[in-house]
Amino acid sequence: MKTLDRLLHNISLYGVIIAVFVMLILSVANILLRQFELTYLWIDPLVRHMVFLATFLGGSLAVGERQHIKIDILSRLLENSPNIFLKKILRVIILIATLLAVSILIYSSYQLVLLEMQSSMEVFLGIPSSYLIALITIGMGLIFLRLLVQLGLIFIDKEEF
Amino acid sequence: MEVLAYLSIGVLALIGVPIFAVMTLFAAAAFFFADESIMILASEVYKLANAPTLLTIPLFTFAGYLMAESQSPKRLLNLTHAALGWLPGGVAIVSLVICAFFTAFTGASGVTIIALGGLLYPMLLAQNYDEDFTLGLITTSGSLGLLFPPSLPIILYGIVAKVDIDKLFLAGILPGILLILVLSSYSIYKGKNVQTSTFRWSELWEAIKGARFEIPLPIMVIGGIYSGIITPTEASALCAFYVLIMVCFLYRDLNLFKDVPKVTAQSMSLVGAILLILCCALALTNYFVDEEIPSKILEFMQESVTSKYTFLLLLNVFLLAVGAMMDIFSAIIVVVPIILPIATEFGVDPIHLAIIFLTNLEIGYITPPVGINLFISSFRFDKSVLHLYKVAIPYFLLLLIALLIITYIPWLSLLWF
Repeated sequence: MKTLDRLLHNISLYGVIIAVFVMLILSVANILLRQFELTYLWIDPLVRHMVFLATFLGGSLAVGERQHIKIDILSRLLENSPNIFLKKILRVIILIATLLAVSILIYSSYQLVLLEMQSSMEVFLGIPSSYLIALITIGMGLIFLRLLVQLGLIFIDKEEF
Repeated sequence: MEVLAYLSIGVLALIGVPIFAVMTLFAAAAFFFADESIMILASEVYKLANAPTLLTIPLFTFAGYLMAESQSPKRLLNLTHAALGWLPGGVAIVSLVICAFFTAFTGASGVTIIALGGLLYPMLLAQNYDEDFTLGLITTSGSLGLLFPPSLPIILYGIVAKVDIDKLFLAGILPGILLILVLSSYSIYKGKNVQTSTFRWSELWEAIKGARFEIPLPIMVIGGIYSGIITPTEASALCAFYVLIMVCFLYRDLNLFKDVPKVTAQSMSLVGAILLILCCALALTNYFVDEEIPSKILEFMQESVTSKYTFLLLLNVFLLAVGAMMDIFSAIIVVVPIILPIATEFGVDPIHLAIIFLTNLEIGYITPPVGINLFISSFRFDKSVLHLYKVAIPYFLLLLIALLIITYIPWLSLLWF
């Protein structure tokens, strides 16, 4: 289970590093090219979609680091509590609720991809809109797997709490 | 059934389910009960990919994290110490200025306290400032500077409220300076018996030489945007690129292959967490607008509140409560679309509203019971949270005074327009 978690972490990590450097290099190149009156219209949408992709990859990293933004009054109150069972139950509920929300997003985006495929129009560089919307399905799919592994780790790894 | 579903989601939010998941569940329930297609959810999420200033969020955050991991805090500390250390309360003022600078670049994400706390805490104690004052100062300073460009919350506010980010950057400068002046006055008062250092030109010159590559940074970002040479999006790209070159090749503080991937992961983890909330909130905002929720709240409020000033007072109380309960990013994304139309009806300028909003949330960082800076300081300096509550009180009261000034003197925010 930990090996799978490591693999998912590495996919997110290397993916996000590539995305950040592509967006950085393309954005700077765009500014420089403009000085020579050269304009490439595909750079801007490509960079924005890189940010969109980085959102899901960063979201996956945040799952691993438990860094997702939340109202954490209860978890802070329980921080020093010796009641491991209560903490475990709470964590399981949190993970299941998050998995449910992510599943809804995966289903919703999959439906939208199917719809877009019927009348798919090209957005930039010949990439059809359905492929770009599929970033949500893939990104959320990655987050779903990470959450599932986290849930499994609660029952396998005793050092979790 | 409907009420039960929303209540359950509310309970999930309170027990610590991530905000992006809570918003998705809320929006999904709303669309379900309204017999709308679930596909709307994904199409609203996809809208994020078309937000024009989206790039500023990851790139400014990346730049801020790179600087925090490098030796920049130390070099900038030397510079401000050489320039201001001779003033009464000088070292405390140095701490305020340096923290404000860092928070502006790191977006008040707790990095300031972690990166600078270890340098400032022993330095202030060595100058004989009392421990409670020092702890309170560093805890408060962790979110100071949030009104200065290119702060992440300002950018996020601009995106959510559809207000020009460059105007917001400008509007925050005087209120931001006011907050520093108020805290500096307190530092001068508390530091009147503390020994100050002697001003030396040679020391200042050495510090300037030491921080020679950092000094052009604010000029490049702020000057570039306001001279019209670059847009905020381009400024973020140039800033991140410059900082990367600076820390990896000019100062050689970080290794491009060893350290930068780690910093990228840290910064993008925060960016991912924020942007996921933003894209999931787009669906929820769509629901609020369709259901005319802001208009309904406005109608209800107009029955008892008629004056703009009473509205502003109530707004401050409400936002302080929000700031104490929620983190700044979720608060901006969730609350702004609801209060913006109401405030506009009461005649509050959207830019002034932005500054009031952000000042409140800045204070929220040190407001008990869950102000995040209190917990970060508790962890960083190994002190109990209850002790942090106590030491933050004078700062909290001082910032409240500044908040009232910012609220009731709109000129401070709107001078430039």
